[in-house]
Amino acid sequence: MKKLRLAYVRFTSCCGCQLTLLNCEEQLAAIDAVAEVVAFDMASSRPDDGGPLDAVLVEGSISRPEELVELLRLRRRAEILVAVGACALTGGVNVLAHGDRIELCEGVYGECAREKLTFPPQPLCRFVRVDLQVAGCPPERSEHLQLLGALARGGLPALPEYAVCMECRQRENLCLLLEAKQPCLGPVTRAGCNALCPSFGAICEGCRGPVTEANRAEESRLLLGLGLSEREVRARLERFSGASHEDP
Amino acid sequence: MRSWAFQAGFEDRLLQSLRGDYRVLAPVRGTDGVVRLQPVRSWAELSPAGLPLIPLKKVVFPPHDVLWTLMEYEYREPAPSSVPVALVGIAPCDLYALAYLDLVFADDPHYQRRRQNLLLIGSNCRPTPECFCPPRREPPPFDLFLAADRLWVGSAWGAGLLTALQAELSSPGDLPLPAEITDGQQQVPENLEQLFTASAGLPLWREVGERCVSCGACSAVCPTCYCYEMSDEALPDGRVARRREWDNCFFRNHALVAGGQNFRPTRAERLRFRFEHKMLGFGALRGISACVGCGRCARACPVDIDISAVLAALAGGNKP
Repeated sequence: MKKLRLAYVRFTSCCGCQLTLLNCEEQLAAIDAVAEVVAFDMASSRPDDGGPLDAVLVEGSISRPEELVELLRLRRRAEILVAVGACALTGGVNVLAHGDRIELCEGVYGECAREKLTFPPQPLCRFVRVDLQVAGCPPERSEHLQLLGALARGGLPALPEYAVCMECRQRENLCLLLEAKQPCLGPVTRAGCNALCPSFGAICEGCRGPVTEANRAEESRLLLGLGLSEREVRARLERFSGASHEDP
Repeated sequence: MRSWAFQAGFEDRLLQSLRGDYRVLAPVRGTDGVVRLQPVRSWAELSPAGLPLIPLKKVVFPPHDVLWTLMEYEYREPAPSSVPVALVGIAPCDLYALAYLDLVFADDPHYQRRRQNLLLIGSNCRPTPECFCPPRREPPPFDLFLAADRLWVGSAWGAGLLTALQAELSSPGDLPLPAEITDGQQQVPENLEQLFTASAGLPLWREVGERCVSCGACSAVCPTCYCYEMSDEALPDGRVARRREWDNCFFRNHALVAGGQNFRPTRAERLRFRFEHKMLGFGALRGISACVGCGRCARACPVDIDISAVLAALAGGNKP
């Protein structure tokens, strides 16, 4: 089998997604056997040779012109482009910073902020075709492994597009939304985590982003019914799903 | 039907006699209030007032079932468990639901392998306000059935279990099963199919569809929902596994086909499809209602969609 030419590239983000893959210690040798890692800045200092790629995994949102140029270049180089993690899919928590952009940047970078040209963080799909979305903040290790295993065999993995509630019910958890009256985002959040948080009694905070056709109107109504303010409902629904969605 | 009266404490000695040869599962209420099918040691642990959140199907049709694995060029099927499972304290509606699944999976080797290893010990239920079981002509399938201080035998397997416990039973009598098992609580309209067809243009489906969040909870807890998806999982080290996993007709992908076409693109269409399947059946099972009236879907629904209310709305034109 020909080795897969692979890059894992990071834009505006925290490196958490790349680290999740590095945490798959037991499978790293197997990954090395099937893939030639052309670029992966958290794992390798090897310079990128700039050649064509079978697949590129992209972590992070796009918030600078240089990032956009690099993203477009990667799209041209790679057969398959995979958006990995909440930032790449929706902008993630990066999007939460509202308000005057110059003021925001100066608050973080001081006087040199004006020399850096930035714009509000955008998900990858705003600019390029995305072949597969791997959700999560960060994604599950198992999804990284399924992704690489499928790529090595010339395909893409089947990742769930339904809501966390399905997995939560299968685990026979107490429903935190209905029975414990807590503001759980399970009904509008993409599954794949095997309902990790609700299985430990903590509500779903929506880190895997909105499920396809998320019924935000009904979820808002449910949360308002629990006594949350409109502002809090909006904040909860927006935390990991970007500002691209209009509130009802 | 042959039946026996039994003495106090008989249930525990029955459990005791099963424990050596069977994995004994029964509905038990956990400290969090959720009732689950889980191993039991004594009859007192059983929860007579609550159906298990996930019904019997999880034993014969598990949510994530590995059908085969592949390593290098070697295919393997997971070794079937040789320990038979005894399901104890099962309510009639769940037994009727299993009878429906038996028809659906009549030719499915994975289901049949587990089903043949399944001993059913039913017991009388306490109906809740959410129950709406329809009247039945036949008794449900069971090997043994317990109600108050009487016991009925439904199979040779069940009769065989009693040989060691004969001393505790009265001489056999010929009593029918308690009437409430077959009487039901709610009549189903006779012209349901016509009512359903005529409802296509009603705002009912759009209104309920707008509320539905497509979360899948109703289908996960339904004792007769059996749709599944097959997926292959490949890992970098070369291991491949084919899985069959529970699916749901409310999911957008369920009727999505190659080329991006979707047979049921809107929630309202999916909702109507689901209710048609529950109430009227499909294919060879057309005319056999899949809904046993357990009320689980209404309890699990975050937005209060209730199949019995939808049924009432179809019959009487009321708002669900």
